Amino acid sequence: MELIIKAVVIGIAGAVLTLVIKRTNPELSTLLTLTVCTVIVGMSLKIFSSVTEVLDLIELESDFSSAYTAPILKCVGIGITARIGSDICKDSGQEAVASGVEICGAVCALYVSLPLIKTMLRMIGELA
Amino acid sequence: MRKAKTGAIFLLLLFVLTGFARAENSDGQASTDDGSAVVAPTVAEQAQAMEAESVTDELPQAAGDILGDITLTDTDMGEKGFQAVLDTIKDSAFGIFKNALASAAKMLTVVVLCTAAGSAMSEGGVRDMVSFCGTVAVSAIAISNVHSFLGMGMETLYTLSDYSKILLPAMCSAAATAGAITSASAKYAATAMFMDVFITASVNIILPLISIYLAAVIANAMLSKDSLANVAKLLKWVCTVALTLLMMAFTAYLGMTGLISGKADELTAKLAKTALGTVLPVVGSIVSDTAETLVAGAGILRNAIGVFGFLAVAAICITPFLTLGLHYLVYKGTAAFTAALAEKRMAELVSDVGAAFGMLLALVGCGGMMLFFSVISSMKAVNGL
Amino acid sequence: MTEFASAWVRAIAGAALICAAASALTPKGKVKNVLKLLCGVVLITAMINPVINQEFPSLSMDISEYRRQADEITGSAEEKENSLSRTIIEDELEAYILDKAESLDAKLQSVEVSVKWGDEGCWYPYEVYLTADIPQMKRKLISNSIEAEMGVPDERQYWSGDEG
Repeated sequence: MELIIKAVVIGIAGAVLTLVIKRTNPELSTLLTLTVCTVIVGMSLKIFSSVTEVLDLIELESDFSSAYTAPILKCVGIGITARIGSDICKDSGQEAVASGVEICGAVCALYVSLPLIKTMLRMIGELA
Repeated sequence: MRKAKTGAIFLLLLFVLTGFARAENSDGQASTDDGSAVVAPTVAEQAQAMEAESVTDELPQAAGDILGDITLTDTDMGEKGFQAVLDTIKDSAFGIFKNALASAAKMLTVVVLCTAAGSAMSEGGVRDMVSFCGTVAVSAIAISNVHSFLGMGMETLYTLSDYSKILLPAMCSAAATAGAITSASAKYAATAMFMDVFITASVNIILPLISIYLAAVIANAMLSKDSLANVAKLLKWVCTVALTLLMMAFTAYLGMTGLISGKADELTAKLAKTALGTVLPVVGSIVSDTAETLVAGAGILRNAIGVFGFLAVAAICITPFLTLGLHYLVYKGTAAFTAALAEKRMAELVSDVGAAFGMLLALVGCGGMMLFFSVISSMKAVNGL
Repeated sequence: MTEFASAWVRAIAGAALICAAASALTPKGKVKNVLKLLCGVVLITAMINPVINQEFPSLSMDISEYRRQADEITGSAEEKENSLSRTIIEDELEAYILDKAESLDAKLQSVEVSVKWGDEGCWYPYEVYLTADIPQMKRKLISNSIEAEMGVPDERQYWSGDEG
């Protein structure tokens, strides 16, 4: 509960500071935005270990191989990273760069999915 | 499909009522040609000779508690038995209904909280998480009942199967002794085979399919798209069609067997009567009258076993029926309320879990119906001489 | 089969939980679309995987085995019926002989009829054992009556007691 309050406080403080600095030094404000995002995401990673514990438990109970869940987790990570990166670029006024980041994220996500897609196609072949 | 179901229910009612009318009309006294009666053995003596008491002695514990000390020789067995079953319904229905309402109340509480929380948020990740958590909570409440009901359904099917191995041979013996040798044998074979197929299919295929259906509907509710909705619909369709086909095949086979073998029994009975009455003088009359008396007694015994079997199957099935039926109704009602309060997904989840209870109810019902049909069919078989 | 279904249910439920959680965590965008594809793949894999190696039970529908059981039951019922019928016929024949003796003014102390299964497919009286303290003349009358009405010849009628 305290984590979200801390994150909100840091976020609001960072946003206000960024607004102040942007008029005089836009480059520094972008860096400040990146730093604040990194700090907030870093703070949430602290409790993410509990989430991964639950995911491990689900894998154990459902007899599900980690080969299936690892691509999903990687996709989530890629999605969050790509979104933050693209939004920072958009905040800096670089829409084209933002789009490039999003497309790269999608391609990376597809890349990590390939082994699983191959496994599924092989299974369908065995069934037939 | 609906018309076929309505027609099937109508035929079933006709079948049942005719069977009972026939059971009520049997006459146990035979008399010789010169007017003096052969001393007929009592139903109790004949039951003992035919070892028919196993039908009451081997009654499952739960059914025995409901039917109490009712025996084959009770003249008012039907009335006492039905009253016992009705008393059980009266005593246990309210308790079961309360339990069902408790689950429904928990689910509605979760739904209301999630709706309230979600309405305070704008669309996005957190709102989706709230909806997701609500779905998980509702699933957990629903699943807590499902495990015990699946176990209860399986236990009821096994109990029906075990009891059928006592009841069917007793019915077959009594019906054969009453003169319907060919049809008794044919009907026993048909029912025993279909019961074994039904139990094997239910325990090994249909019950697992119901479990998988539940998993599919719960999984579908958690996902944002209806990815598994069609899978769930397919599983439900497979279960329903499998049960319907099995019951139709059984009813048709039993009906045909009864028609064909019934005619053979009528012919045999006529020939036997002519031969015995003319070959031997005084002895011939005693022998044929004794045979008539025994056949009449066996007819009474057959009907007694039939009525008792009917009551026993009703007693075995009544508690699972009430439990599954009431939970089905309550869950359907809860789904209607949930649809009014919350998003469609949660309402569909509750409704689909209720549908799973409905499938379990149909499964147990089919097992009971098979035995009902078989008992009534044997009671309707041709009386011997 | 139940363990297989249980494993299948857990696999599907687990896959759905993980996919739902991942979908909720991933922000909107192109990557989320790829994630949805991946979730579909994972669910299909979870559904197909257990089925590939599973052996399904066979359903035996051999009616001849059940007919054999039915024939055993009806055969046993017929035997029991014959046994009961034998007892009743013997009792009736004994009662008939006692009544007949009384109508001839003779008192029999005991009568025992033994029946035998005939070619006609029914019981018929074979031997009669009589105990009475009555004159030879009355014995003769009773014996003739038994022979005429029951078909038991004199040589299979066994008398005991004093010839009063």
